[in-house]
Amino acid sequence: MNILVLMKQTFDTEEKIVLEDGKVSEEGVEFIINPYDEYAVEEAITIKEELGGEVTVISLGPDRFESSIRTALAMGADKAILVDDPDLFGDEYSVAKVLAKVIQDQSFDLILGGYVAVDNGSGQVPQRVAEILNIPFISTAVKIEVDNSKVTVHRDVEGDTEILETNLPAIITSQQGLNDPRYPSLPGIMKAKKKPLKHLSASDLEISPESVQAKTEEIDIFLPPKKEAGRILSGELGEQAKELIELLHNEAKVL
Amino acid sequence: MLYYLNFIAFLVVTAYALWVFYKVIHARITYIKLGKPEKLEKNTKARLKNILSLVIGQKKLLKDKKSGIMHVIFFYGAILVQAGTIELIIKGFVHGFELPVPYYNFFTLSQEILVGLVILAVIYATYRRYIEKLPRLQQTFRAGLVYWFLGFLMLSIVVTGGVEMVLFNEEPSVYKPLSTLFFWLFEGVSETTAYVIFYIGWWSHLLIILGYLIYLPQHKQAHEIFAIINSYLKRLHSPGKLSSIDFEDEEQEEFGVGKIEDFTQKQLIDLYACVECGRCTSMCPATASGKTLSPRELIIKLRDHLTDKGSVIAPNTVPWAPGNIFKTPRNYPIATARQEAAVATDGANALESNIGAELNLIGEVITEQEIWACTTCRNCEDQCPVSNEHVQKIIDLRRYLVLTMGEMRPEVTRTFNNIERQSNPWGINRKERINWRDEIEDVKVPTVKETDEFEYLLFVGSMGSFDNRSKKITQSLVRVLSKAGIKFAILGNDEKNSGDSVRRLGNEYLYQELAIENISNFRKYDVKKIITIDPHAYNTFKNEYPEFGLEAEVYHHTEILAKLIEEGRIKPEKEVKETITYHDSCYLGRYNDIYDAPRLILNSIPGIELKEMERNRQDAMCCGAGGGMMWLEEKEGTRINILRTEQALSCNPDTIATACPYCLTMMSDGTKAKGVEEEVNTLDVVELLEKSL
Repeated sequence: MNILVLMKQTFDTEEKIVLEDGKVSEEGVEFIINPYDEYAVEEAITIKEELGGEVTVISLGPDRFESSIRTALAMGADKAILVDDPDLFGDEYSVAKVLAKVIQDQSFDLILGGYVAVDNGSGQVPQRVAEILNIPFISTAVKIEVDNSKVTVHRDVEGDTEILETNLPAIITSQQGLNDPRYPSLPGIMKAKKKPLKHLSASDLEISPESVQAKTEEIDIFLPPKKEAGRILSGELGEQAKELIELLHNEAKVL
Repeated sequence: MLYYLNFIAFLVVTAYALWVFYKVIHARITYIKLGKPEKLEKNTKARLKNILSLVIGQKKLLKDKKSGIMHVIFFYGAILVQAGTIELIIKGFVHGFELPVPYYNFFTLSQEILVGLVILAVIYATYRRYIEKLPRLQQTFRAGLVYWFLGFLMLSIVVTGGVEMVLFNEEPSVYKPLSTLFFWLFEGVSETTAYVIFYIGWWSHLLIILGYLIYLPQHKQAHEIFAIINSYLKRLHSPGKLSSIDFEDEEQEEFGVGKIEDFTQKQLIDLYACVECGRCTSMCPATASGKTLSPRELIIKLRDHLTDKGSVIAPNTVPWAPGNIFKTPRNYPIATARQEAAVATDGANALESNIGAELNLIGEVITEQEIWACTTCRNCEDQCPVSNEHVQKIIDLRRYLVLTMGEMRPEVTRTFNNIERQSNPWGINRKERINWRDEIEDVKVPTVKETDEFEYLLFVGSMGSFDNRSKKITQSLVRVLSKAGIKFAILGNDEKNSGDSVRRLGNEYLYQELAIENISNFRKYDVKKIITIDPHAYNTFKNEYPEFGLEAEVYHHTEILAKLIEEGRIKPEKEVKETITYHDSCYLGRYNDIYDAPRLILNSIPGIELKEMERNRQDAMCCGAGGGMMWLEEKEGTRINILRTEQALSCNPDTIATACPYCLTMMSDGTKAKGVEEEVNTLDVVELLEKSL
C-alpha cells in the first residue's frame, strides 16, 4: 500500500496575523504542519504500519516547509518531495496542477490530505487534484478502513456521519477526529534527518510556469474589524426585546 | 560415638546451608549487576550518617510508632540474641558451656529479657497483620512466615535453657525467668529424656537458624542485607533532582528504561531491599484514588521480573534453593515457562524454544496506566524505611515511552507540542505572556530590558502568566513586593516555560532545551536572585538547573515574604478573622523542606486561626497535579483533588490556603466539585497576606 500525503505548512493556530506592506508578515512566526494534514500524515503511517508499503509526503511551497516535512518524516513517513520553485507558486489552480504532475510520476494506491488548510481555508486542492487525475474523492473523513482495493470512509457531514465506499486509488481528506497524531520519538527524529527529501523545480517537472499561472488575483489583504465589546440590555423583558429588534435592524442591519 | 555423629551432622548441615545461602545471594547480586553501573557521589561521611540514622536509629520506621517500636525490638533483639545462640550451639558439644562474660547472671537475664521481648513483638506483629489487618500489610501465610521462624527460634532458646537446668540440677533462678518456666515443666524427667529434649531443642534451634539463612535472600527478608546497603548507597543530592540524559552521546539509540537491565544497579538494589511493608502504598494518592498504581506493587513486580528474567539470561545462577520451595510460579512466568518447556522437550532445546517467552517490561510487567498515574509527590519515598527511590524509576519508564517509542496519551502530545511552539501548556500565543501586567494599574512591573535596577528576577511561570486565577497570585505578589520596596523585574515575553512538567512527563530532550534557553536569558540579564510563585519552577531551578549552568539564588515567594515579615518590612495589621487550613505543596514541602515559611506568614496575620489537616507537612497528600498530571485527564478512579479537598474541609475552614498555583487550581476545583465554593475560599498565602496589609 503506497500512500501519498499532500501536506502544507501553516502558521501555528495561535499566531496573530500581522500585516506589513499589505502582506502577511512571517516574522517570528511558529510554523507547523497544517493540523488537518497532520491527521492525514498520521493516518497514512498507521495504515502503512498495518499493511506495509511506503508513505511519501508531497508539498509545494518555500524552503521553510522543510522543517515540517522533517517532522512528518520523523513521525514515520518514508520520503518526501518538495516543489520549492517560486515560479510554480500560485493559487489553488496552480497548486493542484503542479501536485498532479508530481503525483503522475509516483506509484500509489491512496492519496491523503487535510480537508482544509488553516491559513487560507479554501479547501480546494485535493478535489482539484482528484479531478485532474480522474480518481474518486471523499472529504472530511473521521474513519478510514482499507480493504484490498476498496476503502470505506466514515465522513463527517455537519455532525452526522455518512459512510461511503469506493475503489482505490482514491483521494481522501481528513477531518478532526480521524486520529491523534503521534509525537515523534528521538530515534524517529534522528532517522528523519537521513530520509530522502527531493526538491523539484519547474524544469525537473517539465512544466512551463505559464501553464500553471494563477486563475485568481489578489487585490487587497486586510484584517477583520476589531471585535467590539458585547452589550447587555436591561429593563423589562418586553422593552429589551423591542430594543433588540431595533438594534438588529438599525445598527447591525441584519433584519 | 553419638557425640561424633552429632558433630558430623552439624558440620554437614551447616555447610549445606551456607552453600545454599551463597548460591541464592550470588544469584541476586548477579542480577543486580545486569543493571547499568552508576557513578555515586563520594561522601563517605554523609553515607555513614545515613546508616546511623536509618539503620542504627531506625528513623523512618519510627514514623509509624507502633510498628516502629516493634521493629526496633526485632532488629536489636535479633542481633543481641546472637550471643546466646553462639553459646547454645557450643553447648551442643561442650555440655554446660558458658560464654566467658563478666556478670554472667546478668548476661543470661538480659538474653532472657530479649527473648521475651522478641516473643512479644512476634505476637504483636501477628496481631497487627492477621487480626488488626492493617491495610498496608499483606495477610498471606507467606508474608508472616518470618514470625514463625523468630518465634520458634526464641522458644528453642528457653526450652533448651529449661531442660539444661534439669540436667545440671539447678535451682529456679530470677536470672533465667523464662527458662525456669520450662524447668518446672521438665522437672523430674529422666536424664536420658532430658538429653533427648535438649537435643531436640538444640537441633530445632540450629535448623531454624540455618533454614532462616537460606530463606532470607529468597524472600522480602532479603531487606536485612539490601536495606542496609541501600541506606548507604542512597542518593545524597536533593530528591528534587532527576537524573539527566546526555544527548551529546550519539551512540545511544534508546532513552529511558525499556527493559529491566536499563535501570542502574543502585535502582535494582532498591528492588531487593523492599520489605513489602506497604508504607508507600498507604500514602500514595494514586492508590488512594483507585488508580492501578501502587508503589509497593511496582517494586515487587519489578523485583520478581528481575529475578525471573535474570535466572534466564544468567543461566548459571540459582535463584531458588532447595528446589523451588520458595518460588511462586505466578510471579516468575519466564522462568516457569522455560522450565515447563524443558520438561516437554527433555531439556534439549529448552533455551531456544523459549526465547519468545520474555515479557515486555512496559506493557506486560508494568502497565502504561500505572506509569502515567504517578503525581511524583514523593510520599512513598518519604515513607520508605529502606530508602527506595520510586519516582526516578517512573520517570525512566516515561522517558522510554516518550523519547524512544513516541507513545503517549494525546493530552501529553498536545502539552509537548504547545510548550514546544508557544512555551506554555495551553499553546496560547507566547507574545501574550506579559499581558497579565496590563491588568494592574497601581504597580509598575518592568521587564529586564526596561530597567537595570532589580534585585530579584520574578519568574512568573506559565500558570502565573496565562492562567486567569493564577495571574491574580502574581498580581497580588507584585503589589506586596513593591509595598515592601523590593526591586524586581520580569523577563516578559522572553520567559520560557520552566520545563518541570515536561521533564516529569518524560520529555528530557525538550526539558533541556527549555532549561538552556531560560539559563541563557538569566545570564544575559545578569540575574543573581530569582523569585517565583511556582514550587515546580522553584524546584527545577534550585535543584536541576545548576547541572545546566544556572548560578543564581532561587527563592519561593513564601520564603521572601516570611523574611520580609521577620525583618519588619511588611507588617500585617488588618485583622483577617478566618479559620484557615494550609495545604502543603509537595514540591515545596517534601521536595524542598519548606513547611515553616508559609505557616509563619499565616500566623503573622492577626485574626487567623490556623488549623492543620490530619495529613500535613511531610505527610501531606498531593493535590493531584504534580508530575505533569495537571495536563492529563484523570479518568481512572476518583479524583485526587477531591479527596484532598475533603480532607481540608474536615477542618471546617473559611479558606483553604496554598502556596502553589497548581495546588490552588486543584483545591478550588475541589471546592466547586463539592459545591462549597461559596462558603470556602481558596487563596494563595500571598493573597491572604495582602488582605492584612
